[in-house]
Amino acid sequence: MDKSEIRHRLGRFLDGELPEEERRQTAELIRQNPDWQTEYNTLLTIRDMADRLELEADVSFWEKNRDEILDRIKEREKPEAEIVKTEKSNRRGMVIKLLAVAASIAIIAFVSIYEFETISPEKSLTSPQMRIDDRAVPVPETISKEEREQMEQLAEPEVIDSSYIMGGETGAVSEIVDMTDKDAVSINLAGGPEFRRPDRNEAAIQEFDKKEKLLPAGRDAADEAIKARTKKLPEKPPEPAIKEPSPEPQTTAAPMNAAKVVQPKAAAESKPQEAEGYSAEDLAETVEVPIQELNPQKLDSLDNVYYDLVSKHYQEMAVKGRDVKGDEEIQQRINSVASAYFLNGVTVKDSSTVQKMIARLENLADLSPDSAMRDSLIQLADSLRRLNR
Amino acid sequence: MSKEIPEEKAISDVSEVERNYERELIEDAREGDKYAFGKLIMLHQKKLLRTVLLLTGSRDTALDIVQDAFIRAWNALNAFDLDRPFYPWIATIARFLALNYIKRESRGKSLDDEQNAKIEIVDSAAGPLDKLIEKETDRKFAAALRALPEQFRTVFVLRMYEDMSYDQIAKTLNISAGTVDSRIHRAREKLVELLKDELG
Repeated sequence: MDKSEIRHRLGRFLDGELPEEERRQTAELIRQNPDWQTEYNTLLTIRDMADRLELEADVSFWEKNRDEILDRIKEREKPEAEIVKTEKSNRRGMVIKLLAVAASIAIIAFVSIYEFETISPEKSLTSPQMRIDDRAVPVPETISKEEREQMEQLAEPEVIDSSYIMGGETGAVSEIVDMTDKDAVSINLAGGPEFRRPDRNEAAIQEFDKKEKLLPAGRDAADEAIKARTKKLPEKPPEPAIKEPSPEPQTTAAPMNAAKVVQPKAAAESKPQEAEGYSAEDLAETVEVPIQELNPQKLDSLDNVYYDLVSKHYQEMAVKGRDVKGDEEIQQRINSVASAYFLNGVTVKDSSTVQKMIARLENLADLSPDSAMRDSLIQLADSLRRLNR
Repeated sequence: MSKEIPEEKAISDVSEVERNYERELIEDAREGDKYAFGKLIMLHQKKLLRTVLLLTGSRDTALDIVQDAFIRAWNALNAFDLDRPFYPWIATIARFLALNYIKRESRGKSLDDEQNAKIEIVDSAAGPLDKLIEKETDRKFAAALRALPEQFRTVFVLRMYEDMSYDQIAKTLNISAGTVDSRIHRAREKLVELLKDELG
């Protein structure tokens, strides 16, 4: 087998993609064959580099991104609210227009009644015998013939205008509204027949009545919808999710609050870089850091600690046969780190370290020459799986 | 951790409390609470952005995709199954958007073209990944990853950063599991070659 083939097999071994039998054989080869061990270590280093690759932006970057997302959500909700608002304002405008039309109708009706009372039926405006000098309103004697003819001509369009205003022609008012307010099209379409004069069309009257009955309910429903859509969401002050622990989980996780996060000395300091490169012996020297003092930088350190604590320690132990500490202590530390993650708003199950650790521990268990060690590795992997469940 | 609490119980308590906390946030967000949704964003965006950034190689594109994914999630929150964890769901949305972007970008390019192109590690300190990746070793690794042909990089990132099995990757990309296996292997080979100085 050449290097490439060895790497291919080892890659599948690391990814947990080998069948059981092949997996055992590969583990055996890694233990016994230095070439395989070298290639295995190379791939492990690649994987460690991949694992350690973290985005280093500070909290303000993430908060800014969060705010941008929320702003974009608000922006997208805005047009909907505006459409509703437009409809509402158009409806108000329509009421005013309706009133204006009604006032015109009332004036014209008043004039008509007045004329019917003062002019005899056979000399009505529509009568062919009707002449301008027969009208009840006396024409001054001083008026010239030309002026009189001009008045006669002007009288004709006046009749057409009043008919137009009355809405005698289909959609007359709608056309006006359409010309003045294009946004109001949907409302005009719904309310068009309202403006027709009832005595001209029985069907229109029925439709008008029907719509009048429906309209209030429709308006109420629309108002309700507007209220619901424009309802203000409870304003809460922006609070960084990671910076400070949320009060709710602290109360529900009361037993965890009592826990101190166990960190190696190097990691307890605020610079994450200093957490790297400490030996297994360093891990034994622990300091207690109150959870409240943790910040994202310290969490990063913690991540490295966690990684080194479980991974490197066991890796060295399994491959080089070094002594190990008891499982109980390791598990306690894992729990402490998990509590710290949780109380600082980082979910354990989303920590890639935890997920990868399970697969890694299983691989290491395969590699382990000692059955007790193998059992303890499997037990630890199971603990993590339960944590991650 | 108090000694009186049995280890196993303590572990499951953390998991349970944490799951309930996320569920509460989602329930509040469903009712229009943007503050709760903001907390969900803070919980998951870092991991999500890392994956998308490594897939697309562009900081601005990755930020756009992550934002878009959260907006889509907000709009579809009612369809979300509360018994499941949130991250895999949002990650699926973001992956879908990222892979679509990659598909659009690489249209017209064949794998052979990419493989035959000269691969070299660019100085990512001046590239789009700067400001987000500070450590020197991380930069070199990110640059090596970026230098991989897109099809190798995609499978490698999905395997390493989303913990997807070969079968899951195959289904996601609509390719065979054998192809996934081959591409991951070739990605590793290239990385070993590109990072030989780092690997000693």
